[in-house]
Amino acid sequence: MSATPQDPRELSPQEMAQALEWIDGELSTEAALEFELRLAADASLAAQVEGLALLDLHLRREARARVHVERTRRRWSIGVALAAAAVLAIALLPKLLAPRAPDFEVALAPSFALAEDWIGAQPELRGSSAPGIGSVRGGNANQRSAAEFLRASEISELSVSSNALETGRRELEAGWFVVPIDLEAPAAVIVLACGEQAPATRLFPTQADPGQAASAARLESGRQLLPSPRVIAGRQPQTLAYQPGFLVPLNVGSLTLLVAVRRQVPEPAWFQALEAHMLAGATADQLGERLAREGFVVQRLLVREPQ
Amino acid sequence: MDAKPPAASDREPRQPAEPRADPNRPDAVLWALAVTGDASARERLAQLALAAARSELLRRGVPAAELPDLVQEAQRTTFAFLARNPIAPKDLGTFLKYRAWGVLSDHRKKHRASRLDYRSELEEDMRPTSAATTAPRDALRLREIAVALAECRRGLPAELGRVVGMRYDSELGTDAIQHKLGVHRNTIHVRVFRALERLRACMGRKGFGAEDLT
Repeated sequence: MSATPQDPRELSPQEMAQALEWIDGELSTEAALEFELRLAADASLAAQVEGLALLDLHLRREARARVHVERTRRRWSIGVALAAAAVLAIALLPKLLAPRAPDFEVALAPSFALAEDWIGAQPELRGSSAPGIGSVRGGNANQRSAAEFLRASEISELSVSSNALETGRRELEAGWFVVPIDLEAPAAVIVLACGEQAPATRLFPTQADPGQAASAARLESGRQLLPSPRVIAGRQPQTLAYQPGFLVPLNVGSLTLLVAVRRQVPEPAWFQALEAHMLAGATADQLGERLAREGFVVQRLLVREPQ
Repeated sequence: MDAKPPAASDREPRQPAEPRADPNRPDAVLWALAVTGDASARERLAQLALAAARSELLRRGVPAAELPDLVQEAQRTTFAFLARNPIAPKDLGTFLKYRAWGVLSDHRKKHRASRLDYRSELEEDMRPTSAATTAPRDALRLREIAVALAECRRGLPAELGRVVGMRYDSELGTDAIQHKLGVHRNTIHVRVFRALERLRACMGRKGFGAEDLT
């Protein structure tokens, strides 16, 4: 990069105001782009703005953490003994009463960023398209109705899932992937991804909101594909939409996946606690132990980033 | 992830002047070719935008589930900008990096406004400052930073300290601060900026740099 930090120059009030608006996301896209163009050209401005943006984020986080600690203290001051007894009961009873986790098989299958690549890789779909699904390369697509295409796609998915599960494919090199799973009984399913550098993340359920994640974690028995089938109904009637699956982030090296299954669906608060543990830098081993302690059966898979 | 540039039909009208690029600057040549609609240049630019956005957003702690949408937005707005600006950014890599920051700022603003994203809430609550969820050595360091920052905040002039308290402790937006203080919004921004500058300088004197705050 040609822009290198220089001695800071005094910014004009307009520059300061604009920098703050950019940090706050208050500029229009056009104005933000113009400002970013200036940042790319003015190393002194960039160095000042970058430093302040990091400090701004730190101050916001710190203020939130203070509020969080205050709330926690307040809660604990109201009947510590009662709360401790409740915590013990909540912690121990589910373990004593929890039924055995259902058996399951899980595997990996490659996926594709683009619908045309998925279509091209499936004999049942090759050369065809449908409303909402990108046309095939080279033109002259065999246009099918949404219902026809969806049926053909389901057949393809079944074949892909069966093949992956029957061969027990637990390692894969791919930029995108899906996770076929076969459940003996209805159960809660959680998939976590642990990279070599970044904190672990929850891949499934895909919903960030803990309440929605708790609802979406429960799956019916039988064969399923995570995060979803590649082709699903579109927002408009008689149209379809393509879902590429899970992404392997750039430069991640490899991702260790923890697929955890138990009969009881976790509460939203459980998801919040898990997220906090991951953000604090928990490793795959630590997360696996935690999940096992909480009644999950955990299987490991490995996805390598393509070289 | 799809690194393909937007289709030619999506492009906005370009300025008629043929862009001229300094042949000694590969970025400028790439940009100029992309402006003219050269497919391979647009493909390369899309890949650069994708790589820059992904690495920067991951570095800033964006959860994997939110990454594709943000990367796509960074790519989309870069190409919209390309369509209107035949002159290449002075430093393309740095420009693409800040485009990712801009997209993330916008994203965080929406979450602050909606208060619906528990993941971001947790991230902001817990990750860098909560001693309870980090390793002991990190927790000690975070406590040192918190103490130093509190001291620095106490050293701010009253009018800067007040605006910092409103913005961070009370989590008021610029409009609400403007309403309370009765001053122009630019004045508020300048006060916040100057306060952050002083805090950063104060933290620097205490031995804490920008990398300690990430």
